[in-house]
Amino acid sequence: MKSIKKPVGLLLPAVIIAIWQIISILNLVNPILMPSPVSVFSTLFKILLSGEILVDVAMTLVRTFAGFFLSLVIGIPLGILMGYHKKVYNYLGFLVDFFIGMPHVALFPLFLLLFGIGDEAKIMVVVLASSLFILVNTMYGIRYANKLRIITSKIMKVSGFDMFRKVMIMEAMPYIFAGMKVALSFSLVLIIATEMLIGTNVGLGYKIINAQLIYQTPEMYALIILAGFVGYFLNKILLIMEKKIIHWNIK
Amino acid sequence: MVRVSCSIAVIAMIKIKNLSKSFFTPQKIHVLDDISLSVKDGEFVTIFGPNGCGKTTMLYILAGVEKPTGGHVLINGRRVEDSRAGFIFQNYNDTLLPWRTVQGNIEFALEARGMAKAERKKISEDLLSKFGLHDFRDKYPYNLSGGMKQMAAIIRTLAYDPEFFLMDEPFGSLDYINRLKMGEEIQRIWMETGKTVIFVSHDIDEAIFLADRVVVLSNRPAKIKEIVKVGLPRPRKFDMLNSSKFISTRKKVLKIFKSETYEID
Repeated sequence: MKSIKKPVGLLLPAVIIAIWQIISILNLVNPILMPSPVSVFSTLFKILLSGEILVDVAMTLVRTFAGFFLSLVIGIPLGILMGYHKKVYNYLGFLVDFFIGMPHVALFPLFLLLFGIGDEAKIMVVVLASSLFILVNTMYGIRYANKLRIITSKIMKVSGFDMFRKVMIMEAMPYIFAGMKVALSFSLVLIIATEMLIGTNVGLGYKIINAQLIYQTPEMYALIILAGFVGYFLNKILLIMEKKIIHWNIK
Repeated sequence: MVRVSCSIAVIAMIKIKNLSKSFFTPQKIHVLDDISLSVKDGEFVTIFGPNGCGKTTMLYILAGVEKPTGGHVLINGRRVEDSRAGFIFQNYNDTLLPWRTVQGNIEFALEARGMAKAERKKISEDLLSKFGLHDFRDKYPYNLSGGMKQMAAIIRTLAYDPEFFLMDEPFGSLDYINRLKMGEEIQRIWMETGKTVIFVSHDIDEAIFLADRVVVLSNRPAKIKEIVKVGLPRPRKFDMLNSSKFISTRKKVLKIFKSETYEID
């Protein structure tokens, strides 16, 4: 018998919003710093109704996906190379570990110098971070591929490109997806962060920092929540894709 | 008890000559020691030995995935690399490709050979029907029971028509009843196809029940202790496990095997 799925996950958010509302009613915090949830959500509602924000969301998503897809194109082949050849790993391992751990936004000034203040600099920050997450996961996917399945395939005289395309890539798929999930979330975060800095007047990050600068805190919070939902849905889309594509791993 | 040397090589299909294997990891582990064995075309030979004595390594060498340190193997007079082995593993969970359906798995090796789609489909569907798995052709391995998975793995191997079969304790992870059933099934397949089988087992009943000859191996480094001929008529049924001939053969094998286990004590 299947139990009916209860949305228990929404319980805690409801409690948090309730506490937040109580704090606002009791006037414990300056409303300029922390407006009430009622004003934040009504502002969010208004923003969504006017529809203008869709342009910003769209722009943020375009940049995010540009960075994300570029990261796939760079990260997957390099990850495969490093997974297959210990030598390549020996040469690149340190650099990868170094750059994956650093605060990527800190390199934004450098990228401004290299790529100018347009979208390229923002996208390149994303590429630096996301491609590394994808690379590392792909590499482990290749390295931890099931040895017995590879031996079986060899005995069946599967070789060369067939082995790569029909066995190795599939073996690495669950790992690649794990990398993609981290990378997509990171791409969105980094795009919004760089939009806050310089070089654009459209995008969620720009709108958030703008609202903050002119003390429109209800709008700022509303946009932050909106950004949270965008991230949530991006992740959900990947999860659905994952369940479909690597069904065997879920079971 | 018959000591078989290489002298019957005239009709030998698999000829193993002075085979040795050591691993260097980095300390030297001597696994196989001077093994010579000739297997006739269509013969069913089981290899019975203590755990970890190198039986799997021997099969890997026969399949061409592992290189011997000494000696050589000829299959129908050719090198193993140029021959086509059908390998069936104990661990069926990790040898079927989980992202392919049962039918996709069965056609996998045929694809690698560049066979046309229609032809592949015909071969796989014929075999699926023959072994009662046709209704499961679109299922994924994780939807099947253990016995069905192993059956799918066997069908996959039959599909690409190997020259001979290597079976590495294929029923080791099945329960007793399924083991008996699969034992009879393997005998049937073997009798129908007439292909040579080398079957590794550490279950003495299974080893004798299936075999024309039982090769008893020693502890590592594995040498051939003795080769026991099984004179039971075919097709064998499981009530033969109680026959006096079976029991006397079992005693003989056990005696050889026991002398081996006592050697380590």
